[in-house]
This record gives sequence, structure tokens and C-alpha cells, in this order.
Amino acid sequence: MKLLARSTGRARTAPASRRTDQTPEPTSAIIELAQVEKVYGTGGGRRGGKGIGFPALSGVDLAIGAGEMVAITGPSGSGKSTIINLIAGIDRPTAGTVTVNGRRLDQMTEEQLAIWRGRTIGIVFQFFQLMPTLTAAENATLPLDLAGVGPARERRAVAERHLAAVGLGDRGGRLPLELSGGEQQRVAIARAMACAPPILLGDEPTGNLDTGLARQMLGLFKNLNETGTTVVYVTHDPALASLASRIVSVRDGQIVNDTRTRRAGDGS
Amino acid sequence: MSTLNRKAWRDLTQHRARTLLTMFTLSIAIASLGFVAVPVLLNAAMNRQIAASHLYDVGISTSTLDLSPAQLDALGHLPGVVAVSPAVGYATTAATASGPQDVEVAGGALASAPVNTVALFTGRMPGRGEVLADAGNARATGFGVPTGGTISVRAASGKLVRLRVSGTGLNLYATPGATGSGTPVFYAPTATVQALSGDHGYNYLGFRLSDDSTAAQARVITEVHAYLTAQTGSDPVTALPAVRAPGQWPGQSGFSHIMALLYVITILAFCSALFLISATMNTLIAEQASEIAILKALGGRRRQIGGITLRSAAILGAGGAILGTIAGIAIAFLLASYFAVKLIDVSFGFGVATAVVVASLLLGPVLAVAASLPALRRALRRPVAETLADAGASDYGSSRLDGLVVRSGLLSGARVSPGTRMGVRNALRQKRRSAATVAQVAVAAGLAISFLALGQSVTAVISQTVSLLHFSFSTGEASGRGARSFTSQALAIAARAPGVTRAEPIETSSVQYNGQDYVAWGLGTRTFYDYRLSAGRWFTAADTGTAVPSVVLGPAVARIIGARVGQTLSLTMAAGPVRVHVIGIDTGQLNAGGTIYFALPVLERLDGEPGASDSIWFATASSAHAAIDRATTATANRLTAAGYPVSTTEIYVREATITAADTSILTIVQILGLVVVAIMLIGLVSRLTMGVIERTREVGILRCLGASARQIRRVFGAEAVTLAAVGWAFGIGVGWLLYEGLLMLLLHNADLSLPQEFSPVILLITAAGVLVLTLIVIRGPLRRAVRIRPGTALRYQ
Repeated sequence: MKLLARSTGRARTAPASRRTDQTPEPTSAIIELAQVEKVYGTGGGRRGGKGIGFPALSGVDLAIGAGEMVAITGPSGSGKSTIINLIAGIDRPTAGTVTVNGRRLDQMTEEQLAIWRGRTIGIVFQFFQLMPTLTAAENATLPLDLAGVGPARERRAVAERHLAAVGLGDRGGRLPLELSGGEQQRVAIARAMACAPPILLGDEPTGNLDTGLARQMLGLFKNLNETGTTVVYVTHDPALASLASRIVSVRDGQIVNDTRTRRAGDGS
Repeated sequence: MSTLNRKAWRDLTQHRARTLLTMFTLSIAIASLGFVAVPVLLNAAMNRQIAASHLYDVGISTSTLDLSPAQLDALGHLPGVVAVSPAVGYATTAATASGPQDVEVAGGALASAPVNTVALFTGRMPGRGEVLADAGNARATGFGVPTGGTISVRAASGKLVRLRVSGTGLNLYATPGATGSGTPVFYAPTATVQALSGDHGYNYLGFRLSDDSTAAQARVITEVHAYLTAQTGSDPVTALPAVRAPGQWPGQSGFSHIMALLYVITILAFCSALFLISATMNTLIAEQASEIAILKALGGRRRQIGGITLRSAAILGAGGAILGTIAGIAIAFLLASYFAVKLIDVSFGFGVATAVVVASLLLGPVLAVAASLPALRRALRRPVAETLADAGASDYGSSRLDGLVVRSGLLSGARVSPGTRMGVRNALRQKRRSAATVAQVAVAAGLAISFLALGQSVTAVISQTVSLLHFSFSTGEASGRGARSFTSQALAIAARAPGVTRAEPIETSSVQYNGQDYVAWGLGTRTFYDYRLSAGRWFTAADTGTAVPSVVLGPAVARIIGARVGQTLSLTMAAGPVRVHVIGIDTGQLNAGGTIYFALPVLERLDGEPGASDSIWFATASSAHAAIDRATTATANRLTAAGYPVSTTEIYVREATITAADTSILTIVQILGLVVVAIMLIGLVSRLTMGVIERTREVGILRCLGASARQIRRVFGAEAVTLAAVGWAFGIGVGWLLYEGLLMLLLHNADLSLPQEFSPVILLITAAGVLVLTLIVIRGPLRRAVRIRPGTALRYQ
């Protein structure tokens, strides 16, 4: 499966030998979390006030460079999904700052965040979360329609190309109820890429798929990464995590390990 | 507290929004039962009024009789008579800025009269130089004079006498609101009226009997007739004696019509309440389907699981019942007191229909539990695996309709916004709930359509009826001293008045057939009345000399009697029994179709005044109101100067008064109908709010995908508008059926035949109304939807 080639203007580096490196390679950070804390419960929120409740993240610093493919791993309740949510602007940190693609997310209103997210972030959820009343093609077109990108006819064409790229070119007219789990997740990926966002996030995107399908999905993620998309995904599976160029381990709300398996932008 | 009970309670406290919404919806449904109390309270108020009125059983109109206390006492002791109350009525005009206004001043013992007692509503009883205004004057005649105001009435001497209005009251026998007369009534002490009329005596005797059967009434009439004839030397009775059947009272038919309409609205309100409760509880149970499945998986038995759900339903129902009953009491009191003043002119204090209150309190939990049973039964029967697998999933796409909508390409076009596309298709999710919402809107729209159409029919029949009368004003003989029937001399004088082009003498009377009173009109062969016969013919010159008088029957008379052309009937008149021959059947709705027409000379003869009539109809050169007013005044002055004191009525004024009275009734009924519409639309609000709550996670996803607040609002707005539009479409059929039902109800209960006025304009008006109301009521749920934060939404269970 080949995705539409996307010119980013970034030069590809030659493949390097596989190595484990404790220190991330310096690169221009497209995602930056600085001293981020997140407490769920009463209080807390936009202005960084501390609340009473469950501390999901404590003093997290994380910088992800443009074009990296990062897997976030850790046990249940470690704060993995919280990191994804903060990057997407779905949640707000109790303390610290989150900067994505040059924008400070804490300085944006909910409305601004929603509109920004449509053009900047592509999200793939564990349970697909397709709109049940829209066909596969319509789901894939949805972010383009919401963002009002381009003429309406072209949006449909773009979405169909993305569907074809994920192998569902002939299933565009089906409703989610008529698709298998793997097919639904592919539609979700096509939807996530609709606006050609620079960042793709996956919150346990393979959690609801069998091993074979999971590897296929991650394969799609890799293809997208190779076109220059920054990919960050959460996974429990070490094997799936190893497909990333960098693995960030989270435990008890803190980053305990940050390992580079290959250079950013390297091919497999 | 057991775990199961704790769960039932926590299910409510943990989902506060849902609990409050459900309880609020149930309370609205229970409050609508307050409509049932409205006719109950009005009936009770009317019964109190009737009891306080000491209404006559027999009423006899006479020429002015100067009866002594001994004679009155003798009348009161006639066999079968319990009480007698003499009264004197004086018909005259009051001077107003817009010209003379016909008024009637009724004199008697007023509050202390043992028969036809005048009840005081406001102010105080009139003293010397004062009058009490009838409480129905403003509504029924358009001539309201406030307490403390004055009226200047024309005495028989010709002078204007100023009288102060001391308050308002009501005599059920005389009030224009009940009698249907367009003449305002004022009550005064006997001496005041006698001073105005210049006569010392009474012209009406009201009797209450120990036995109010028809036979007893006839015996008393004969006794009174004989006594008065013996005492005066001639027969002083001037009109057919009025008899009141047991349980009947003046204006009862009008009241019954209003009650019939109210009962229809009440039934609709009750049905809407049932709908609301059913839809609400079904939604609640459906949401708990996966929890029910989990409990089954854990080993819970059906009775245990059902018990939890039904306990929650009962708590919600009880809460809704308490709130709703309080609201219902307030609604019933406000509506009933408003109607009591606006429709039937009775005094109304705070009252509670106990039976309705008890029923409301009991029905809340009972109906909530009962409404939950079907959905609960379905949920308990469903296999666990199937329920859990479906948890969170939508069933959209599983039915043929879904596939048809998608494959038809409907809303797939590039020009349709995603929000609109999703919203319209969302209307097809949870089809059962959508169908219930559509049904509620359909009934609401149908109600609105039917009442608007009814209003048009009533307006049409009034103008159609009045349009059959091709004269501009009429004069009638005044009562009291000097009152004279109009001879040919009077006719000649009147016909020469400036502005008058033609004059037609008319005789009016009353007849009885099978105990029922009907209006009798004597008309000429060439008459201003544009009769439209459905059978037979009108009078000719030959009909004036037949041995058996010819009559033409109004449509209501013909229907009630079952008469046909060629039939011979036995009528009762003041002069005694009369056999008549039916030569035609009319279609006009004059006097609600209850008129019996005679040839003019025949009725004059039967009324004991051959060659003299009691009314004259006049056509004028101009139809402008000012010209008619001038011609009326000129004619009245000429006749009065010639010794014929008159009262006058202008057709355009009469039409406006009737229209205003009927319009106010219709407006009230339409307002009531709108209240029912609002109740129905609450179902729409509830549905939409539940939808927002249920789809919290979906809204979060849309926000993740970049949807703006406007786009989110469009999703839910499109869904609401779709449901409302489909409901309106079905409402056209519902409205037509309701409308036809109301027409039949009025025909069979009130003998009122209304024209069909089901016009497309009404449909457009209701479409606009449904749309506007929908957009208003969904603002709350839409506001809730756009406030959902994606982080919270994605964690929503």
C-alpha cells in the first residue's frame, strides 16, 4: 500500500545501523511538553492550579522532533493516553506548558483548539470512533468538510485517494456497521490523514485488532512517517513499540526511559 | 440499605443531568393533567352560581301589571309554587360618544329576590340613582362600564337620566353572556326602573316550584294565567311562558360547547402526557441495557434486575408527580379562573379538584413504572452477549431504511454540510424513540392545524350568515310605557328617513316544539333575508291566507325534529297550540339554524297584532358605517317623535360583537391548544437533550476532528428540525382528522353546521410555527452540546 507522496521539503537521511541511544537526537521539536502535570479530579485545569484528585502526570518533559515516529509504552494507568490527549489539546495540563507545531495550547480557547486540531492533528482511537451515520468515504471526508479545505468536490476525491491508499477504495459506500474492525480502523486512519496533518496521534490504535491487523496498521503508520508525518502512538505491545524510531516509557506519570532505536526519518 | 436498592438510588444520583431531565419531563406530563381539572372546576363554579341564582322554573312575561303585595302573596301561594319574584325590564338606549347604545335595565329585589337572584361580584348593590352592571356586558356586548362610571339612559319621558355604576353582578336569567343577547344589561332597584319607564308595575314574574316536572310547570302556568286574567280582566301574558327543564340553565348549551372543546383538549393533553412519560422511560431503560446485561452475566435474576430499574422508575415518577401536581394545581387554577371570567362570567375563588390531585400523585409513579415495563421486558429478554457487543455501537445501517437513505445519495451532495448530513441521518437512529418524538410533534401540529381551521370556519360562518341579511340596521319596539308595535304608518315614517332606501317590517316571536324553544320570524315574500333553501320553497302571497299556516324551518330545527317538506307539525305559541305545514327547509345559520319562518301577516296574526310588527329592517343608500349611523339616528328620532319609542341595532356592530365573542373563545381554545403543543415539544427537547447526553463521546470525537461550535450545533439542530418537519407532515393528516371530528362534534352537540375551511395557508402557518418553536426549544440542548469538552467527553461512560 502506498500513500500519496507528500513533499515536506525535509531531506531524507541515509539509513543508519540500528542502535539504542539513551539521549534523543537534537532536532527541531514539533511537540514539546515542559514540566507538564495533569491531575484528574476537582480543581486544576487551564490556569495550572493544582487540584485534588488522581495525579496522571508529574513533571513530564518531552520533546518530539518533526518527522519522528515515537511509541509511548507503559502499564495501564501510567499516563500514556494522557500524554496523547495533552498533545492533541483534548485535555489541558494542570501545570506546565504544551507547545505543538509552534502553538502554545494553553493559550487557545476550546473553539480555537478544535479548529487548530482539525488541520494539525490526525487522531486514531482504539475503538475507531467512526461516525455511525456516515459512510466510509464520508467519514474520511469529514475533517476536510469541517475545516472547509478546498472545493467540496476535491475533498471527496482526496478522501477517496486516502481510502484507496489504505486498501478500501471499493468500500467507500459502506456504513461502519458493514465493515470489519480492521476495515473500520483503516477508515479511521484515512480520516486522520484527510487534512494532511503534520502530526498523527494514535491512542492504542491497535488495541482492538488482532496481531496481524495490528502490524498492518502500524505498517500504515510507518508509511505515513516516511512521507514526513510525525507519528506518536500508544501501545502495550513491545513488538509494536519496536517499530517506532523512539520508545518513551511511562510509569506512574513520569517518563522513565526514552530510547532511540533509529534516526528520525529513517526507513525500516 | 441492600446493594440493589443502593444501586437504584445511585443510578439516579450519579447521572444527575439525566435524572433531573427525566423528572422534569415527567413533572410536565403530570402537570398537563391539570387540564382535566379545568372543566371540573368550571363546572363546580357554575353549579355554585346556579344554586346561588335560585333560577326560575317558570317565567312569565306580561304587560305592565301593578300588582299589590296581597296579589303577589296570592301568586306565591298558588298550588305548586314555592316562591315568586316580580321584576320589571325597561329596554332603552344609553347615550355614548359613538351614538345611542341599546341597553336593558332590569329592576327587582336583586340580591334578596327569591327567584332569579342577582349575585354581587364587585362593588356594592345599587342604591338610588345607581345601577349594577352585568359582569358579562363587556365580553358579550362590547359595552363595559367600570364601577364608578356612569351611563346616561333615555327615560320614557325622553330625558336623559344619569346613573352611576355601583359594581358588577350577574343574574343568570338575564345576563347577555348566557342569553346570547347583544344588549348590555344593568340591574337597579324596582323604583329606579319604574321611574325610567314611567310605569308603576311589573312586566315579568319568576316562579320556583316544588315540583319542576313538565306537568307541574304546565299546571302552574295555567293557574297563574287564570289568576292574572281574573285579577286584570284580560289576558296580560305577552309571550310564551319560559320553562326551565330540571338541571338546565340559560347559556348551558354555550357552556357545554366550550366544555366539549376543553374536554377534547384535555384528552389530547392527557395523551401527550402519556406519550411523554412513555418516551422518557423507554429512553432511560434503553440506556441501561448494557448494565442490565452485565447484571444478568453476574447471576442476577430477572426479578432482581427488574426491581432495580422499576425502583428507579418509581422514584423518578414520584418526584415528577410531586412537582407536576404542584404545577398542575397552579395551571388548573389559572386557566379555570381565566375561563370563568372570559367565557362564562362566573365568580371564581381558589379551588382544587381533589380527585385530579390524588390521581396526579398516584399516576406519576404508576405511569412511570408501567411505561418502563415494555422496554425493560425487551432488555431482560435480550441475550447478554448481544447486548454487550452492541454496547456503545449504533444500530444505524441495520435497517432497510438506513441503507435506502445512504444509497439514495440523499444528503450526500457536496453542498450539504457534514453537520446537516449527520443530523438528518441521526434522526433515524433509535427509530422507536424517533417515532415517538415524531408522533408527539404530529399531534401538536395536528392540534394547531385543527384549531386554526376551526377558527377560520367559525369566522366564515359568521360572515356568511351576516351576509345573508341585506339590511344595514333594524329597529325594535321599546319596552315600557308607550311601547307600540309598528303599523303601516310607522313604516311609512321610517322609510322616509334620510339615507334609508327601503324598509321591511318583521315580526319576531318564540315557539315551542316538544319542549324545545325556537325563534320565530315573520318575513315577507320579498325579504332582505337571502334565504338558501335545501328543499321546498319560500312563501308566496297565497301562503298568507291558508287555514294551516306555512312555515320554513331552519336547518337545525329540521335536523332536531327530523322534519321534511310536506310535514305538519304542532307548535305551541303564546296564543296556544298551532298546527303548521312545512313548505321549505333553509340552510342559513341565523340563530344557529334554529329559526322557524312564517309569512309575516300570519305571525302578526298569531301574535295577536294583525297588521303590526315588532321590528323593521332598513337598507341604506351607503354601506359606510358613518352613513349607517346617521340613518339609524334619523330613523329612531323620527319614529320616537311619531310616538314609537325604539331600540336600534346596526348589523356591522352586531357582526363585530359576535365575531369578537367567538374570536375570544377561539383564541382561548387556541391558546390552550398551544399549551398542549408546548407540552409535546418538550418531548422534542427531552429527546434532543438525551441525544446530546448519549452522544457526549461522539461530540468529543467531532471536536477532536476539528468541528467548530457552529458545526456541532448544526448536527443536533438538523436532527431536531428533521424530526419536527416529519412530525408536521404527519400532523397534516392528524389535524384534518381532528378538524373533521370537531366539526362533527359541533354538529351533533350544538347543531352548528360550519363550512369547511381547511386552507393551505393554515398548513404554512403551522409549518412556520413548528419550525420557530423547535428552534427556540432546542437552544438549551444545543448550548449543552457545544460546551462539552473533548477530554471529558472521551472519558464519558
